Amino acid sequence: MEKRALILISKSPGETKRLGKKIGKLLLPGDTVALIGELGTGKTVFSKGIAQGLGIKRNLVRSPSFVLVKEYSGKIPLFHFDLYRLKRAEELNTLGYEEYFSGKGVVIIEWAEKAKNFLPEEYLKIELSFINENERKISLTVKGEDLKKRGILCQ
Amino acid sequence: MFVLGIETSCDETSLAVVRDGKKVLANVIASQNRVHQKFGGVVPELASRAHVEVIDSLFLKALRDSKITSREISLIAVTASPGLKGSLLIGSTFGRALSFASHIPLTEVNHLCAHLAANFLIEKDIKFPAVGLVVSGGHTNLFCLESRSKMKILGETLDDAAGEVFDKVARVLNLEYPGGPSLEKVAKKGDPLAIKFPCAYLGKKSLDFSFSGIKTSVIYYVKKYGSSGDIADIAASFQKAVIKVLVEKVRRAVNLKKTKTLLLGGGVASNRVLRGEMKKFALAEGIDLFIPSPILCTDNAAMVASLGYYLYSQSDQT
Repeated sequence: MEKRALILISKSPGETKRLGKKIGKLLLPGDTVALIGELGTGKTVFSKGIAQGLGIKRNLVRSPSFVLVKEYSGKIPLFHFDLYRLKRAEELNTLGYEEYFSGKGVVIIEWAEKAKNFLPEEYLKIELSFINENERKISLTVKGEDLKKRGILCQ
Repeated sequence: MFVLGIETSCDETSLAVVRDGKKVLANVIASQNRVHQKFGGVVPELASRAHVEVIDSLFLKALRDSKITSREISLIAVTASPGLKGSLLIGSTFGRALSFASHIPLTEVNHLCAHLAANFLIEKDIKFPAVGLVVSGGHTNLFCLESRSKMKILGETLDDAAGEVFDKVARVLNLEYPGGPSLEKVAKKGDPLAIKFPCAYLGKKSLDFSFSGIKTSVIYYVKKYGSSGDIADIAASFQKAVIKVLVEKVRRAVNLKKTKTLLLGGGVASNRVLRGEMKKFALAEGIDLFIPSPILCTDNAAMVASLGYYLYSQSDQT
């Protein structure tokens, strides 16, 4: 079945963050957000927005490239993965990733395309790409029937 | 007093024996980049299993190198955070087991503070309070040190660490891994004034860092103009922008804390241009600057042992 994508244009990192915040407000424990896009397209900025939307202190979220996963506590806990340094998807096994996917919090995965087989059936896919130095094309797709029923993109 | 240091926070597994917080008797490191022949093969990145495989033999080698027996160890110092969870666990489990079995006290240390403690592994007199800058692949933090055992964070990066942007930009420029040193090498041939990349200072007073703007700007530059002709210029200009921010933030911290002592630490502190610029700054301001030797800038257990020694002796007195 063809998935319909919502395509938006962000004119600045600030706008990207605000969009992330809007999405963050709609998320529930157990939701997964897969972020896909080249270096510098704003994945971490978007994640910061989601964190804000989840009620996590504004400036706390950083790039987790180095440690692969960072945990933040808020009204809903956030598990922020960054698979940038991952060479093989199997390395995820050494992180005990299942624990994070167990539904207690929201999971964000930057560079999600590196671990396609590890993604749950239901997730929100967000692809970011360069238009020019400041502007980004952001495409949002919902994967999975239950998540679709919630109509996140309509809001 | 002999202190055993254990460091497994990331890719490197390291064990060290340090006497009285200063004298390094052994500092053995097994890493992906510098694999010790003895242990054979490459240690796979991120696999905590790799730490498990080498930690026993590294411990024995550390004892042999330092010519002491395990009974002579009076304290175990182990990195507790921050780092990769699974990796940290190996070091702390090893330390706890040894502590329990041999009745040796154990102290847990912070990895970032340990990077600054690498400067204590010299005989020189360090005057406090001091400002400390930790720059590595995973971290960029400014600290105020009231003493060898008392450190407080003044500022940190709000997005990417300095070493992280070096690595990411190196990848965009198709330089070989590890990206930091490759980029530094290429930058030597370039003109640091060729391209002006934006430095983010986050206001006049902030002691925090932001490097994702510089990163994006370089990436977009390469996208727009290609990287064929002027890789060296791009690398040199990028490096200059990052270092300019680091020096400015250090200047602010030093002025705020009214101190004349500056300590550096972390992998990026072995970057020669950074060392040179910090020396220039220190000389102009009359500041005592301490930078560990390049091997002590990387993740190692000697720095962990040193910090552990000072933390333990401090707690003993009170």
